[in-house]
Amino acid sequence: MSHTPDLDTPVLALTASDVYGFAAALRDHSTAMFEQVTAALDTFGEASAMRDDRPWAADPRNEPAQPIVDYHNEAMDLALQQLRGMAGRFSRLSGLTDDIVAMFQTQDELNAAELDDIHALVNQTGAIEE
Amino acid sequence: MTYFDSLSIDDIREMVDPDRPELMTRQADRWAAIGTFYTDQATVLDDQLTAIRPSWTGSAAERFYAEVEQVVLDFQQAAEVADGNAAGWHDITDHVRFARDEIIALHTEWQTVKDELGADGDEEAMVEARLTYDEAARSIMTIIAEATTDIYLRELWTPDPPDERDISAQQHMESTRRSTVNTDGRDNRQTTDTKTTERTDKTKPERNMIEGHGPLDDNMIEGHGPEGDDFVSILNGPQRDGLDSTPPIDGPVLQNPPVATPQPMTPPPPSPNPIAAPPPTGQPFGVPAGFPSLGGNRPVFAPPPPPTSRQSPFHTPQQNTVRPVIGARPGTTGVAPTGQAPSEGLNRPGMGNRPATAKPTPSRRLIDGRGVVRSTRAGQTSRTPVRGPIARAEGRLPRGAMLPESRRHRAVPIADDVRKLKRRQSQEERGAFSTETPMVPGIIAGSSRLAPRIDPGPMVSLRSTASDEPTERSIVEKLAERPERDLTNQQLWSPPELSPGVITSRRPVDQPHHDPGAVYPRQSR
Repeated sequence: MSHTPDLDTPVLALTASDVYGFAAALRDHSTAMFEQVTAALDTFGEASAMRDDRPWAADPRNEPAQPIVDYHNEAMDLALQQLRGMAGRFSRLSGLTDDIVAMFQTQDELNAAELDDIHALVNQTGAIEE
Repeated sequence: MTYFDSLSIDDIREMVDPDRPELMTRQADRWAAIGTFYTDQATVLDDQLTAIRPSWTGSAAERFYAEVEQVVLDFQQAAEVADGNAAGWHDITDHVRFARDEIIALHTEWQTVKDELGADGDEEAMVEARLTYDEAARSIMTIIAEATTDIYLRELWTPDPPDERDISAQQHMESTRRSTVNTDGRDNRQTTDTKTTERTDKTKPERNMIEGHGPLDDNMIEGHGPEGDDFVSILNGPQRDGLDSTPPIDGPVLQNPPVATPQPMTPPPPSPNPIAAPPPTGQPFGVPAGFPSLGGNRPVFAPPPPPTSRQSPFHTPQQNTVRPVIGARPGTTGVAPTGQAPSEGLNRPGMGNRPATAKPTPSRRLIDGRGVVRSTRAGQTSRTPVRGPIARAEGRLPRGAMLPESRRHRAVPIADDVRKLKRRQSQEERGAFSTETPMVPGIIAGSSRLAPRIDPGPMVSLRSTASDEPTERSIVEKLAERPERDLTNQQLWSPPELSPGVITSRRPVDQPHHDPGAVYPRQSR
């Protein structure tokens, strides 16, 4: 695996003016974002806690509200899944960027990169489905 | 349509007692927090993308940028759904709060009336008054049910979680990151366990939902008070405000969220009274935004005069119901009409019209990375009534296209009719936004951008059909050619078939209607 960038590459230069700085920033950001999302999700003992135990239409006699609350509960469950997933989405992008800067360690190499090379990295990382 | 036909005012009071609009507001705030979080991520990423574009060009670069753009788009779409759900749930919460306050006030008044009538021993008046109160309560609940269902259909959407491999990619990210970080030696932070949702050590509080009329003990609801939701504060930490400025060139460019707390799983102890508890039964909140016809009795809740058969609390059936303000909501905020805010019934929930977002959020970064004015959070009110989350699987649908795929992971089936309605709505929207919709050319003058699909062909000069000068004979012959079916039209000009005694007093006659002889005798010379 070529995930590990060379120490001498410009990746250490924390500038977002090029892909190398972008990779470094993205790496930090995805890590921090992951931790942030984890901490936020940890505020719920369990996923269903976000529902607050059916704060509306807990009485089944309120029939018209039942499908709404059910739908909303389901949506909230999916929202938590999505939150985790979006953090993963970011990390995959970070991984892809890391792979790119590891493969092309100078700007000249980067400029000479072929489309197929990027395709290969994308498919390897699986960042985004085609 | 009327729901709750079998329920009395007492039943409905029991039914709405367990409702907790405060917690619903908290849920809506969580939606908003998620939406803000996504928007921030998309903005940061988009800004970075804009910054690095000049440094690397070419087809390979564009391929990579497309990946980044897709992530930005995913975040934006997720934010749109979350923001929309926040607004929709806030709106529904307003209605729920309003209904609960109204029902409680109505029930309180009914109990007063009942006591009064019971003292008088007037059973008949008691029954009649009860029916009136029952009907009023049902009307309130029916209106709220219809309004909330409408909001639900228009504004609540299911988030679309990324693929499982995206979620599992976090582990991939972890291994990658550790090796990377350890190599460059910049960071040795240990990350928290990714399995964040497997703890089930909490016991769900048992809620006796309909016992008694008093509100539930809010302390039973574990978690956090509505004022300080850790989920929101962590997700929308103060650090995100630093994102508003242009990212610096040096130093950590992207957002630096708070370091995960070592023990984030221990929620803070609930405050003694985390939720502004509604008053218990029998203790009215000031003057509820109630019924105008009841207003005279409301302030002191004095026993109203025993209603006679025509002096029920509601004078007319039309006044029995809460009449919402259709299509408009007074005021500039989305705060629901509550019992704490005395009013004269002018602040009813606007049916079919979402109020302004209840969560005041300062406008932030109105311009995104591409110079497009984004809708602010407060600007959610400007969203189109039917929102259109974009399906990831559909690729590059135009913004605003509806979610075409079926919702996934539906744990609880919703009512068939409701589901069909939602689906049908989606189909219509998809068709409406389809770029494949053929356009009819030439209808609107100046629509030169429309590519006509129907070629009318070149103009051909034809001989005018009016060139022959009509003669009197030709006209007579042409008129004589009128088909027989035109007789039906001619009958329109005939005297109507007589219906004796109804329209005219004339006796029906059997002679032909067109014989004018008797009426207008021809003058002989």
